[in-house]
Amino acid sequence: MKYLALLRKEIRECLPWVLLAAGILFVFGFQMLLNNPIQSIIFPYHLDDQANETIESAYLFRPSTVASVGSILLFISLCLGAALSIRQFWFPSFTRTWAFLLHRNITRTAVFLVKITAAVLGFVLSILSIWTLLFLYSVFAADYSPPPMPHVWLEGLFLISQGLVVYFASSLSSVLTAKWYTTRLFPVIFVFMSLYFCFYPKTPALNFLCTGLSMLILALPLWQEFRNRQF
Amino acid sequence: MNDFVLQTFQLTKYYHKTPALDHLNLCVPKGCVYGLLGRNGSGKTTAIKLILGLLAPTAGRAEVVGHPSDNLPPSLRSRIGYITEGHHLERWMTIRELEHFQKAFYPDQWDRRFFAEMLDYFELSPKRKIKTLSNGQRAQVNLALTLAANPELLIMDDPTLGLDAAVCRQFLEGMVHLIQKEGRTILFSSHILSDVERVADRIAVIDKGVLRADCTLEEFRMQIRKYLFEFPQPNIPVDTLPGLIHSKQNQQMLEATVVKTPEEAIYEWARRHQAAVEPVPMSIEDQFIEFTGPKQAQKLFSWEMPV
Repeated sequence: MKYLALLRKEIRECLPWVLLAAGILFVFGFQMLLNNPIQSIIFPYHLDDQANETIESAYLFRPSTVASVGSILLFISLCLGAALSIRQFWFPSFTRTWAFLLHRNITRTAVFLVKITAAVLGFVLSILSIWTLLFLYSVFAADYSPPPMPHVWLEGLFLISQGLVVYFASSLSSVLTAKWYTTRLFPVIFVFMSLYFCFYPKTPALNFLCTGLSMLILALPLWQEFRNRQF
Repeated sequence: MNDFVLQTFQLTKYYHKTPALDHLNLCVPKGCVYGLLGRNGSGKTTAIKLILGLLAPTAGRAEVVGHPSDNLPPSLRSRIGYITEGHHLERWMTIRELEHFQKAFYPDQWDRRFFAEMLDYFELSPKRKIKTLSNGQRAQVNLALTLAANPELLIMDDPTLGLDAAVCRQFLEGMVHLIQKEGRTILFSSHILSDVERVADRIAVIDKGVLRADCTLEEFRMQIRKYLFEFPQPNIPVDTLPGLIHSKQNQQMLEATVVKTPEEAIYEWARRHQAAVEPVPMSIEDQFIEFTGPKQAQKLFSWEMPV
């Protein structure tokens, strides 16, 4: 019951940002689908002359109209990641509500897990669901030629997952008590490196693997720091 | 197994190189209302946060019902109520939402009727959002939330800070309500003596992180006294006065506050220096201020200078 109450509180606190992200993606996404017949793809840098043939046959990198939403999807995802982490891990320091939350009969690990669950749910319920809606619209309702392949949806999922990497990095930066220009900056630097390495591999499996590893690298110290942080 | 609900052993906390708490040894017995007194920045909040495990000590340890503070199990935490300094609650919630949130953590202990009664008493509508409440009203909600969870140990960090006299009294009456329930222990910090005077059985005075007194209120009253001396000559040997903590000097007159000094010793000292002496009545507030004030403070502020 207490976990549910905590989850409800966390979701409610994230809700304005989640709704804002969903709204922006919905409006701009559909506008792009309706007004932009140009077919583009999410990973344009893979389309160099040498790799073109391989990429054309690769399962993740086929051009489609819905994929043109990719750029805005990535941007919104990164912004949502930063916004949620600031709301969950920095804002309570500003409002001085950490003590009100943490003195309760609940472990810090549980609080941490509930916060992460709320953030992931925020991503799933907002931009992932809108992305799925856009994808389904382009498959079933719109008359695109060629119709988007199912793997395009995975491309979107990959872009959304980058937002979670930013979420973990920004959360770690918020929880760290070092000066902002020292250790606190490391997670942010790591995100830029991570984004490069996540997009670099030519196979989808490796793309997702790099993303997962980046999240893990950030989540472990975040958990450790949150457990030991003095509030 | 002892009867202390709360104990600290040489509890020390440094913020970088600044000591906030220095080897604090406290024992709070079961069923006691314990007032933690100290001026702003004396280390009261630090002590409370260390006891609750919200801060890690630099040295020493604290125990709550025999459990080390840095690892209090959730089952024990459910028996502790904590009122934070400044009454910082989730501002976006309504009082009703906050009640549901709090209730979820204490489902077996939650006293719904008591919470409703407290809101009625404080004339607060459950529909109001926390962000629309004044500081005093937030304090009232915080007290109702904490007391309705029926804690066995209630820890309050300067709960009356920033409240007006009427709200402060209501708040303390709420506290008394809990005290009336058998076996409850209360530890509360304050820098307002009248609050402590009204409810505390025992007090601890912390000054610059150091425990200066740990006694009953009556003992504290008895130990600190002020005397007015009149000397025949202006050169007064103030430093030889036993137990001196504070003095003000003006030519042949000396106003001195002493601690833990028998009256006979004072009169004997006055007789030796051919001084006339008379006791000066002190309120407990004066006693506290002089006890925690700068030692041997003889330097006057500009507005205190004799013309």
